[in-house]
Amino acid sequence: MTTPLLQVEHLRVQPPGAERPILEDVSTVIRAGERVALVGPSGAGKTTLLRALNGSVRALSGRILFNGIQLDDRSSRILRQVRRGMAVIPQKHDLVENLKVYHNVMAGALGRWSNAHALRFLFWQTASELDEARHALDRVEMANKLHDSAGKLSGGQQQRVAIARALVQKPLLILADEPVASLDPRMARQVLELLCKLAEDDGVALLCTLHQPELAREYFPRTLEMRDGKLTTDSAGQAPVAPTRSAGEAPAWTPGNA
Amino acid sequence: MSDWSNAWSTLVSFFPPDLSLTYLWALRGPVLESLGMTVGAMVLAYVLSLPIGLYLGMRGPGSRPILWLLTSLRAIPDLTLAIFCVIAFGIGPGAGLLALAIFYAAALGKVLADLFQTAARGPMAALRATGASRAQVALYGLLPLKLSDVITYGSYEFECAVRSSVIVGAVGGGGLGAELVGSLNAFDFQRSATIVLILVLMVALIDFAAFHFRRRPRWVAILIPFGAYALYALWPHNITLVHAAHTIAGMFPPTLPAKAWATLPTLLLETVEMAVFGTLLAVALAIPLGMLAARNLTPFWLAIPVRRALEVLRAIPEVVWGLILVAIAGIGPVAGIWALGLHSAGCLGRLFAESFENVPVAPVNAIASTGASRLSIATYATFPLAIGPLAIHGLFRLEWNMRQATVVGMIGAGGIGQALYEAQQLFFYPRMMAYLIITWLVVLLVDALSQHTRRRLDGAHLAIEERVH
Amino acid sequence: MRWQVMTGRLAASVMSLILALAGLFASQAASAEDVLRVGMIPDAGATQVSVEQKAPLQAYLEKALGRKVKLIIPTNYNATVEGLDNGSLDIAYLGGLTYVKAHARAQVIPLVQRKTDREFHALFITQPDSGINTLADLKGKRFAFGDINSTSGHLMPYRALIKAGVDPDKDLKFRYTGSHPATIKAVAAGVVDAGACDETVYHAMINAHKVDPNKVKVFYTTPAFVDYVWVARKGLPASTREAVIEAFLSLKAHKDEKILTILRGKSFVRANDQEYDAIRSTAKKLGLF
Repeated sequence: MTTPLLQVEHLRVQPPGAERPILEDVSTVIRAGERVALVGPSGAGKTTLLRALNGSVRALSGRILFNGIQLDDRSSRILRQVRRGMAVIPQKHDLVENLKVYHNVMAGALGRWSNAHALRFLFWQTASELDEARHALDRVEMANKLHDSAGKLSGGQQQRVAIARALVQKPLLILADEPVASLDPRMARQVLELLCKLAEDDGVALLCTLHQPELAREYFPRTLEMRDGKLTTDSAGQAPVAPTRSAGEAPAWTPGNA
Repeated sequence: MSDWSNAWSTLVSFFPPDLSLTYLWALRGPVLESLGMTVGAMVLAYVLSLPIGLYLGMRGPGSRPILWLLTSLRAIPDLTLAIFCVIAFGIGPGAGLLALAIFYAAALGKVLADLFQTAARGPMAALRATGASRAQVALYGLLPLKLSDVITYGSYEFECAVRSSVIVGAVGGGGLGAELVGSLNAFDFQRSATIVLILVLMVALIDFAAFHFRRRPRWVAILIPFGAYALYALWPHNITLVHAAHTIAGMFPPTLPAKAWATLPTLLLETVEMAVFGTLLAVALAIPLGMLAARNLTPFWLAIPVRRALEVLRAIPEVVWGLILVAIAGIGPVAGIWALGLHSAGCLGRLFAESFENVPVAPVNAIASTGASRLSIATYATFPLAIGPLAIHGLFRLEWNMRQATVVGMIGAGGIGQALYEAQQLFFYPRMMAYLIITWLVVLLVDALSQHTRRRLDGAHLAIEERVH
Repeated sequence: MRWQVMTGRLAASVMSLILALAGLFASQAASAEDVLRVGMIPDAGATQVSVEQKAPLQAYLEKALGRKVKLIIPTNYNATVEGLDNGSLDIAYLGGLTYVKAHARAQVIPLVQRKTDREFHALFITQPDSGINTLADLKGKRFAFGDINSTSGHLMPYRALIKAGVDPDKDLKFRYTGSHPATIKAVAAGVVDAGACDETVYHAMINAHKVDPNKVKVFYTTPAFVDYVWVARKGLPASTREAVIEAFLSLKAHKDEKILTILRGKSFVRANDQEYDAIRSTAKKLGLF
């Protein structure tokens, strides 16, 4: 009924410097709008899988198809096209602290901006661009921090800005790397609720690594479990979930509308 | 004996400096030319080097050859570049400006590339993950992450550029340098003293401005219109690239007559000797001066005047010391050794003082608790603890002096620099090119040897700090 | 806190100083258009002041040619020639050897020269009590040449020394001072034992008391040779060349005394390339060309 958004086939990955492959024969499918948790002990290869999905680490073999495009990290055009549809919320938030919050939020739009546009926005911002940034920040309840310096924010605030950056990117898939790893249980639930709500509102697929299986069961209809670089369990077999929207209807982004 | 009394009477004839208003007013043109050259060249150097540095920082394709090109450009001293620019673009401040711009674009390009490569990886990866292009990642990641460092190191280079503007003037680049050479040639030593005084003041002024730029980076923008104007006003009015290409083509193939090959080892040895003994002299002067300038070793009423004295030694570049010393003591390597030694002593003195101040406190306290005197604390604790950084600073200085030994050679201190200069003066350009290439190879060789030694001293972390000569 | 406010103010004043300098700078920049750029070798030292001392010459040329004239004194002879070659100088004053090289490299065109240049001499000078009376006495002494490209300060004295059996490379501790006045002053100050220089510069300095006549003496005068010449760069229009020639030829003793003093001459004649054949062959023989 719905087309697969992301297809991973027999993926083997050995990051530079690793003695043996970290991922061994990983295959799975994520459909448009689906919310998936990726669980497993640390060192299982969860982060490496996320990095491989957006082309930050090269595969030894196997292939990744995203929205009909085969990922090829040797072609920077294809790489950028794939990355544009896939927003990453890094574990350490990774904001550029010397820039303003609005710069960091709108960095999500870099993939669709020309270089000249990007250069202009550094120094001169139009009202509509600032509105877009404010709107994204509003959704993570941070609109009042629009003009702050990113370096002045607390860790939690920085994470929300990183989420707003992902929203501005208007992706088809959000990859969130351990978004609650350093939070207390109450805060962790708040952040997961927010992420799931935002993903649901926009009809965006969400792949989120976690190491608490109970949180995964609570917030995610489908859970993938990893152990020693292999996918061991996929809850989809037992309870397949109908995604809310299909890839064809997904907003804003289609391949090639650069 | 008569040599010494002669040198002394020559030295005395520098005083008092000619501070008459008419002369000071006559100097306004050269001073403005030198300042304009400096600021214009630095603006141009930044315009050229920032994209290069960002590109190298992003490790774009072809980074290696570009880095190699920058490194080899850096091995050509500013004075030599100025000679080239005078040949290619005519006499006057325009040629000087271009020489400075090329020299500092290469220097900054390398420093910026090194700086950018140390940018935090996380934010860079996050930006890349949005599908941003290389240029966009550079603009939104590298540049903001490293902006304060870019300005800090730029302001250090700015200080050096003021000194260089006088150096390039000495070979036809106009400004104060031309004026200094002229007054020395005319034995107008009181006026030479005035010019040196003005130079010291200019360096102090720039030093002061640079200090504030480091604290308020936005103020740097003030320099841009001034620099742009200087570029417009001083730009050589007749860049004839055809002529430049023709002249440079005439330097190839580089050839040395048989007689010159025979004297080559002697010349090289003289230059290397100048560099080595100049550095040793500087170290010998800088250890006591550095101790006297270190706030943890010396009471402030002594440390502060010693610091000022070091700044004066440092403000006067090797070439200017060389010109003065050649006038006083006559030509020859001795003048060259002292020229390198005095300027380097100023630089090393300050660095040594900082090394002494950064010595870990605990071992020093342990010695002090035995009731040891200041001197024995210095010799038993502070000095041994600082010996590593001292050696690294000294090696960097040796690399630098290898280049400068050629330069002071050109103004009469002998060695390969003098041979190069004479070949250039006589229009024997293929011969000049041969000397240039040989010098350049020797400089690269000494760099490599010194780098190897420094790595073994495990001082890589000082690498960037030390660019600030 | 107070200190910060103060340094802030100081910094602001530095900035305004820089801006003021920029303004001054604007007033300095001469429009490059239609200026005749006249280069002079630094035979008498190249300082801002020496350019200004030559102001009457500049004024005279401006009046005679009906256009702005800028006098430029590069720091060495080589730079003057390169300036002619790449067009940053229009006309220039060169020594004989420099002319020969400039003619070969940049095809410069000889214009005029002083009558004395046709029969010029280089002088060997020393201190009165040095005990040096002949060229042979120079062996083992400290000696000063002028610029390496100077005819009367290097080439011809070099030839005279060789002819007298003194090999400068082996028998002398010599240096290049860069200019004639520097050589003369170096001898007077005893920095060197002897030196060679241009006769007109020497006499001009003695007459103007720029050097103490009791501290120097001439002990040898070279045979006559052809020296200085005014030249034009290759591309300079013939009409401009003729105007310059005319301006120099019409300088008259008594009437133009000030300018003639600056030029250290009495009257000017047209110059031609053949005169320099002897210099050419000498330079080749001595490995300087």
